[in-house]
Amino acid sequence: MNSDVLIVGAELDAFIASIRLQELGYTSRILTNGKGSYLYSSGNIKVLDFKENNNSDKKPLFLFLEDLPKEHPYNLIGKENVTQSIDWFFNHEISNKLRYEHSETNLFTISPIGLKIPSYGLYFNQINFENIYNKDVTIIKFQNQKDFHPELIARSIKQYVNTIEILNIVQPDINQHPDSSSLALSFDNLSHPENYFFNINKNINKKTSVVIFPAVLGLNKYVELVECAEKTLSKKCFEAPTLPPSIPCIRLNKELEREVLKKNYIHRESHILKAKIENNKCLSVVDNFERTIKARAFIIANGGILMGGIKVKSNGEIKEEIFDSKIQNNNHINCEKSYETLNALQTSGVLTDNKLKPISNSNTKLENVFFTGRNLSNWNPSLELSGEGVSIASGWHSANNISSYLHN
Amino acid sequence: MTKALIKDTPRIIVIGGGVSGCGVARDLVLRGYQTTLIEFGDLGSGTSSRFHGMLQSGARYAVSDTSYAAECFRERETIAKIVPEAVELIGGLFVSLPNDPEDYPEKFIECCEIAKIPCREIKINEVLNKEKELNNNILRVFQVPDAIVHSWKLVNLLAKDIKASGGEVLTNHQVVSIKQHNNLVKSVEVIENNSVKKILECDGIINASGPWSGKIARLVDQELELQLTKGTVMVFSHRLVSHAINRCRIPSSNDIMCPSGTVSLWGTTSEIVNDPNTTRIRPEEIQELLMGAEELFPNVKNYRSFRAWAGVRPLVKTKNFDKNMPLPRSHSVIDHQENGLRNFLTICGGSLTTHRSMAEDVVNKLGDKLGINASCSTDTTPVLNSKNLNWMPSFYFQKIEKEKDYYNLVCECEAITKTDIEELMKNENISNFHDIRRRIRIGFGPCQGTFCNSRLAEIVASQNKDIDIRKSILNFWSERLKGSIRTSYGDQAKQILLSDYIYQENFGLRLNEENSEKDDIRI
Repeated sequence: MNSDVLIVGAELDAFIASIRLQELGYTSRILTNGKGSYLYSSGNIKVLDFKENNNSDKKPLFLFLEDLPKEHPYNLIGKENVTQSIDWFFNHEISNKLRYEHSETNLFTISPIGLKIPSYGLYFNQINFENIYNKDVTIIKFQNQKDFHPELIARSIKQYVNTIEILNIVQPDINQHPDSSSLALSFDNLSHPENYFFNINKNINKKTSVVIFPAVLGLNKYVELVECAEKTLSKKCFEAPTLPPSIPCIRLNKELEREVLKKNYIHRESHILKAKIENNKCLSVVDNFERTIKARAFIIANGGILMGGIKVKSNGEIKEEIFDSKIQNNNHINCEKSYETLNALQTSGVLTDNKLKPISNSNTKLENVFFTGRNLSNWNPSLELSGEGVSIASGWHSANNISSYLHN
Repeated sequence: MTKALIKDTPRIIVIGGGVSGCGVARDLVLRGYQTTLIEFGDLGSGTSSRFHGMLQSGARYAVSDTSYAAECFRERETIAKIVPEAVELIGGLFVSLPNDPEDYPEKFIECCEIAKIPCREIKINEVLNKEKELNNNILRVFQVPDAIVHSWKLVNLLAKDIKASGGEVLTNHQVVSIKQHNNLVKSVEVIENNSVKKILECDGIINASGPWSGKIARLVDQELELQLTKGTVMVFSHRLVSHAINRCRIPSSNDIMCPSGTVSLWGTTSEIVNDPNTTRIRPEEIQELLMGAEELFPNVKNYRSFRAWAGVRPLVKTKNFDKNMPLPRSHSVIDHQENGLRNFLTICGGSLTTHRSMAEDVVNKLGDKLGINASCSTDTTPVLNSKNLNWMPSFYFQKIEKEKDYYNLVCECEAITKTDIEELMKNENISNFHDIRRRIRIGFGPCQGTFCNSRLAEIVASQNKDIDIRKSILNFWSERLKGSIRTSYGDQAKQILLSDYIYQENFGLRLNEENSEKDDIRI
């Protein structure tokens, strides 16, 4: 079981690292326990929120990186690298295939409960606030679908639109459960989607110019399905996110996985238990199947506290146990307010140098181990709305660093 | 009101909508008094819902307060009979560990016998087969008829009964002043929903506001000698135990684990406080609770604790109390006549288990004072609409399985359906999500409202056009969070970051200084 690099975790940062390593000529092996968090996102690529009120929402996004603290992962990685990595992602054939839309600045997408989310990259035909200004809008809801909230969306966008209606319709396959995955599959399975959209059209208000569907129009054929809907209805058609698990995330995950599996391996239901370290180098790790896996370099992308890569003990201690890395701990149990506790937990993580190599509790630095994503400290994805951005940047950066390390 | 019609029936105001207040109001109504219950917030939102949930067989107090123990047992039997829907008859165990006092078990058996509490010793192997989490080193085990009571179910059933019998129940009414004339209280001034002032006339007042009794008494210039103690309870996911499990020793802190609904409650700490609104939990209390729980259940730290809460118990400092002994648990009826007030009584102390007999006592006393001779019937009159079934979580899940009602299911943890919510909104005065949560347990399970909150909002939004949905979702989440961040270790740390992920990153809600729930405020 040898590859150049072992990657622990199978989320955005891990996939990006693997794909980038492959570009640079290295193979990798991914271990995953299969309990990813990314499907809980609503599918857009959030790079960084910036204050709406400082009149700067027309500035290119990357000018705002300077406002972050110097320990922030974006600043560790460096502004140039961050910009390059995000450009790399949006120019990659995966993004083209998924038809991500992005520009120099954030766009405001609509969240599953109808609120504004500043997003840098939008999934194919994702609704945003610019699409609906002064329009006559129809929101589609499938019968008994409990994870899509048209009432909440309608309430919050009411002030921006001309008229709005919610239309309850029957899903393509009445025998399928109306959960997001089953709905998406039944759209993929339609042999004549135009007939289905034609039937819906009878009930849509004649005035309507924008139709919002829940984001379940196919797991694979979404581009064709949306085009077919627009043609049949002669209206602009968009998708709005549902409660997690989100179909746009599954689409992204599938594409990333497909790309990784071209030349690399993914081992499922696996997580690491210990590492063999000699002379500041990790030689191998042992997983829960007692397999010893050797590699020349390691990327630890197992999701920080959120996904259990970093543990919180009952006395409040926070620990990364496999490599005994130093933790930036913000003592969450002594916070008085909920939002302070959340912030302390979010920003606790592994301390690394600017190459993303961890510093151990004994002050030694591991030469061939790199931490990414939510394992990193000093950032708060939920306050900054930077979850996907830091994952892409840190995955890409760690791959580049491994490449130069292995090259030497 | 109907006062003009029934001129000869006195109108009594009960202050406090916890279990005591509801018990008193029900007693009054059944004896034919015109009754109005006033509650500052929602029913049962104070001490009544902030305890470990045990309906005492009395065995816990058998040694320390035998006559109170006997009263508990009688009342436990009565409650289970008159309001079975709020009770889980699971039985309790008293377990002695190697470092517990050796002579206590013998005293315990003896005192249970005096108090007429059925108690039998059972074989250790038999217990360990049923209670897998229990410490294997236990020395002796006794079985007693402890039970679990669902306090919100209880108060709401009592309140429905009060209304059906002609009484009035006013929630979200804050008492601001009480008017007296010639040593008689005449009327109560209240503010409804923080805005509308009202004057309610009365012929007598019963103050049943638990730890807030002192504040109410001060409105009529009376001082109450109360000792307020804060008790903190930790909630563990799953039913770790199938009986209520007590340490077999003099009752103190950290010695009860109660299975309740889909979870288990471990408690409690005990510390003297000055303010009844003190419900903030310090990290040290959680450590103390965990250490205590580990003695009985060595594996307990590996289980997820998804919440902790604190309640304030009001104990009465009796006239000749001994400073070195714990205060008695039995209740007191405080007559303020000595200080000149002739129709104002306070009922305080006691426990949820004995709320009915507390009510009986205080209403008897009131009758004496007003010269009314009507006898109590609450011990034999079943509470209206209480279904004749013991509450078990499996009941609701079975119903959903049978009817294949999965897509009606809104809260998967507690098996709450869309129909449940719609019916509740039709039949009751619901002003926010917390009112819904307390009535049907939505958001009480392991995910603490992470997944059902927005579904609930969608249903409410389609029925009620006025409610501020964004604020409601945020309040509901931050209120759930307030209790659950206190135990943010292990899997719970992951869970609260997941809910943060969903609410802040995915939904775009912002939790900050202004909009997060303040600790010392009762919701």
